[in-house]
Amino acid sequence: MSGPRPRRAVVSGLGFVTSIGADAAAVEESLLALRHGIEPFQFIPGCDLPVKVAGTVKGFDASSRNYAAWKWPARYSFPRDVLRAVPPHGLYALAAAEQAIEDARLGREDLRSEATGLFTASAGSPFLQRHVLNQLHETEGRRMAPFGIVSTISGTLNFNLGAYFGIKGAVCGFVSACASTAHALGYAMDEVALGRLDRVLVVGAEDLTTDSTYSFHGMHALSCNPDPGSASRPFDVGRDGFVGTGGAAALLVEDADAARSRGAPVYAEIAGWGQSADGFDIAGPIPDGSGLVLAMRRALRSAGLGAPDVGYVNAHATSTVAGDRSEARALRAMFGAGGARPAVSSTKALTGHALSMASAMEAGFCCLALAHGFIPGQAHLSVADPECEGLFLPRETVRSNPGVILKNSSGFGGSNVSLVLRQWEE
Amino acid sequence: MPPEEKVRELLQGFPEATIAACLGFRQTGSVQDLDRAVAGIIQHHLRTPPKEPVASMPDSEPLLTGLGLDSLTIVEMVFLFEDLFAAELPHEEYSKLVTLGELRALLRAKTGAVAA
Repeated sequence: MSGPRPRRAVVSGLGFVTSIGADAAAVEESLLALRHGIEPFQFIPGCDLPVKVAGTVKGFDASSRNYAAWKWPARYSFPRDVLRAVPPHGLYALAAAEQAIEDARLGREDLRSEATGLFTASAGSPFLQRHVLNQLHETEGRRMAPFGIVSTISGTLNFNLGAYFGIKGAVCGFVSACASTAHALGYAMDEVALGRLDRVLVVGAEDLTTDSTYSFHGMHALSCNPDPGSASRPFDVGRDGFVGTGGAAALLVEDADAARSRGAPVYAEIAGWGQSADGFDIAGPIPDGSGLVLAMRRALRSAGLGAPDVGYVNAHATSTVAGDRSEARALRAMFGAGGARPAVSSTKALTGHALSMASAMEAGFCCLALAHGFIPGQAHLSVADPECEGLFLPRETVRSNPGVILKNSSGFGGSNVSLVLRQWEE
Repeated sequence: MPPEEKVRELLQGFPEATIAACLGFRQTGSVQDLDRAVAGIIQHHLRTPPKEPVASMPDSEPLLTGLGLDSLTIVEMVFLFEDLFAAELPHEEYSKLVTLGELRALLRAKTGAVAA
């Protein structure tokens, strides 16, 4: 006797507002050409700060604290009563979500169905919160912006997008720093596979501001290299920190049958995922990469695959010395012994590091790679760190379908996630 | 009232007619200009377009059940009124407002608007 056919979770819609493009077509073009989105950036105008570049968000201007001054591409129309309660990254998130919904041919009634959920992640908006709290103190407690809480705290994307799209199935936020949207995608896959939901809209977004980004300089995590073309160079011996970026990425994770019945594109299957924790340090990864190895092993096991099946690893590598080395050691431990040699690259060389939205953005890149048959090369790599010995780091984008991709993510506190994305086959 | 540039900054994104009404009130101090400005500001804050222009609505129109405003939006508007008209609108006073007429009356009193 056979039970019901297992439900397979696929990605059926994509949306991007990033430094390398504000839609899927522009993003893919940048990935193929290895065109980066990093530019000179003044975190505090008029101040000669040591950090001089960032992955600027293309097509949008949300630099004002006043939403009425924001600018966005003409294809979007957002009502005032929605914008008044969102931070800058909320604008990006709304746009990316609209793209994914349209891409998936999803109607508003499908969004409002009890079978649709929303998982999000962002760090909130320290930028907007600073203005709101300054006003509170300056007025000796008399003035607190009525939307000051819901527009600034971590969770703001849940509140705003959940209400705007009328989500009824589930609304949940994820907080594991730079692994947040990887967790969101993993749990979205589980919700679909377990039959609790038919689809989950996963959205990650971040401000690109002094408050969200430059504050990482306090722990010397940012690159002080002023050259946009080489500041972000994961795995290179010359790297000196990450380059910050913001924007948004949205993926519709959906039951394969539901997606196909609607005629939605199927970019890739989320075939499995795994997580682990280093139990080592509040910020840095465990140097031997053992935590990430455990996450990768669990991910492949849950997908019923082995290391030799992997064609490409989209690395977490942010261009910091400690982080890249730990991941390089993890990859060697994972693939070295069995002779597997998948291509490895970190697309953060092109985009910069998008913090909690990074995993969603990069998983989206992997979906494009699997759907259209390419492997993004390792941009800005001149001399590989000796720890990368034995790893295959293609310098150019390869026109071949990787078949199976591991998407690695790691966050503060040693939180590790690895997602398995597979080329869709019936 | 603040200078014209500040008025324009506070009303960024508002219809030009509303900005003009505010600037008009800045010059005349008249009840008519104030009412027009207030109506424009309220209308801009409504989630759905009203059945008729707010400016022509009767004083009896309820702010919540009629215009569809909520308490947070009222606070949002109160802060704007305070900045625009350099007036202080204490919570004890604006939280008791029920109708459009009561809001009009409160703002007339606080701004010292005079009949033209």
